[in-house]
Amino acid sequence: MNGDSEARPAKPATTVPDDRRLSWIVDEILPHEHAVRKWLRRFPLVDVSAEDIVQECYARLCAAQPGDIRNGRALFFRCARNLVIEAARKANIHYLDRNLDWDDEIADSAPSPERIAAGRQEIDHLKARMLKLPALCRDVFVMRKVYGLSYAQISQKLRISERSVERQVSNGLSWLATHDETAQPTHMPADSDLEDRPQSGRQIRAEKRS
Amino acid sequence: MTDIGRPVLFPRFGGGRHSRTDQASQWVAMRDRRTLMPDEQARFDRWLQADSRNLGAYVRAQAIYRTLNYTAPVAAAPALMTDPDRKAARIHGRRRVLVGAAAACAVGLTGQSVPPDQVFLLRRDHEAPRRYRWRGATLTLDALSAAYVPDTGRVGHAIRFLSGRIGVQATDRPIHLSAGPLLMQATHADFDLAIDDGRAALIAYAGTIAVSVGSTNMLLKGPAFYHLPPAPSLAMNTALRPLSPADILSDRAWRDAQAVLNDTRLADAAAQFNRYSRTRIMIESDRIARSRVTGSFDLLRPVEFARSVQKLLRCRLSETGDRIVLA
Repeated sequence: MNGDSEARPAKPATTVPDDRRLSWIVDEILPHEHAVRKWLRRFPLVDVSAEDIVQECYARLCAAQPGDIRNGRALFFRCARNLVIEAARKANIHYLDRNLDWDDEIADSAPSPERIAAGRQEIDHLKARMLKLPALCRDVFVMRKVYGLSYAQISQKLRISERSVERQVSNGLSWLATHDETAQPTHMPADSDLEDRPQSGRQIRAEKRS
Repeated sequence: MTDIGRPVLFPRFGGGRHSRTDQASQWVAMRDRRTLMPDEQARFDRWLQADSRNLGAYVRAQAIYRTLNYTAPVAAAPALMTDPDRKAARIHGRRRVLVGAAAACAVGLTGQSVPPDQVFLLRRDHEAPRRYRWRGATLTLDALSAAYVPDTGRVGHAIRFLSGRIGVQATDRPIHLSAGPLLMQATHADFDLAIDDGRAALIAYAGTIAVSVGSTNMLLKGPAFYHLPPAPSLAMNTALRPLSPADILSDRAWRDAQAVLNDTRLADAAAQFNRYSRTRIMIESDRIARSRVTGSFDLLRPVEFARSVQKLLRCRLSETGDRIVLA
């Protein structure tokens, strides 16, 4: 954490990102969210949830300058770790492993081909989940996302109001955006997450500071 | 046709009506549909500023929504074939290509008019390529590849290729295939389409493939290798490399999970094997990585390949779990 020369956003942004920044988040951040969540599951979080940390990360990453970032994955992990440490400090919690099971390769290496492939699989998995939405919702998503129809066209095609189309998009997106443990990919590439090395599955113990 | 599974009933995974994820999704949907009214915009701004996690949830939901986009081809030009090409097509008995191309344009292959009733997502992981039958054609989807395939016999619905590599053996029924802004249509043709780092390559083994991007249209004839740039300057930038019978044999071999290596760098060969298996071949010596190998190998047997290389190059081989290390 110290001596980190990589640019890191300390404060969250306050407005929605522009198109360029959103594209960067889509390409360089979102594919690694599953890996970050998997790493977060090792820690007994107090007064904060993994969801809180991930959401806060996205807010902070909005403030990053895409052109300055070489490794979005590393930035995402660093942001999450900083938030874990902040939450622990506020809760007066002391992690026995001060490094939080930190592997330098998480932070410092450029994404390996395996990680890139794993990230791509995460996106494919998301698309697969889209096709598992309930029938009407799935049809709305396919028409909107795969075939690029407008709300008016979808409304006409499905014979529902545009408000209903919007509601289907909202409900479907909420379902897709909810991290569902039961919907994980059944196959994970070997070596996709360095967190699964000898430390894999090892829970990080914590104790209250005296 | 592979089906990824039945849709589930709709549980409230969002954590309830007022969960942050639910709220973010509602805002994404509203802004996707239309521009917010001033009072809505004010309410949205207040919600964002109330808690930084709200912004984070919104950006995340927006990113998820955007990542589901498939970039469809832009509107096709009125004709996919020029007059000289039509004559050539008649001479070579390719009337059906012209008819198919015209029909494709007529129904608007850009997907703006009639989406199919159902769409399947075909995906392959680190595993063997898989063959599918679809509308009389044979599709071979490579490892680490994905495509949306419509489940309909209606003319004009295109396979929407997402990533990786797909092999197409089209018969007398026209096959329509799109890859981002690229739109392809063919009958009686045999070709591979590969997308790597956003760049597309077409390996035409036989037949003629009509390709359009924007208002630029071309007929690409096999056997030849083509680079397909995403920008609409197809005629100027498309590279052409003829394919010899030996090239066809080696380039097509992946469909049978075979690698035909001809003086191939070991590093490149290892990368091929790593695509199809969770067992990874790692090369720890630059000298060995630059060595050349020739031969035909089973892509699903990386250990056998590594042992062959070990004997050939007299290097060290160690196997640890899912790693094979050549040093």
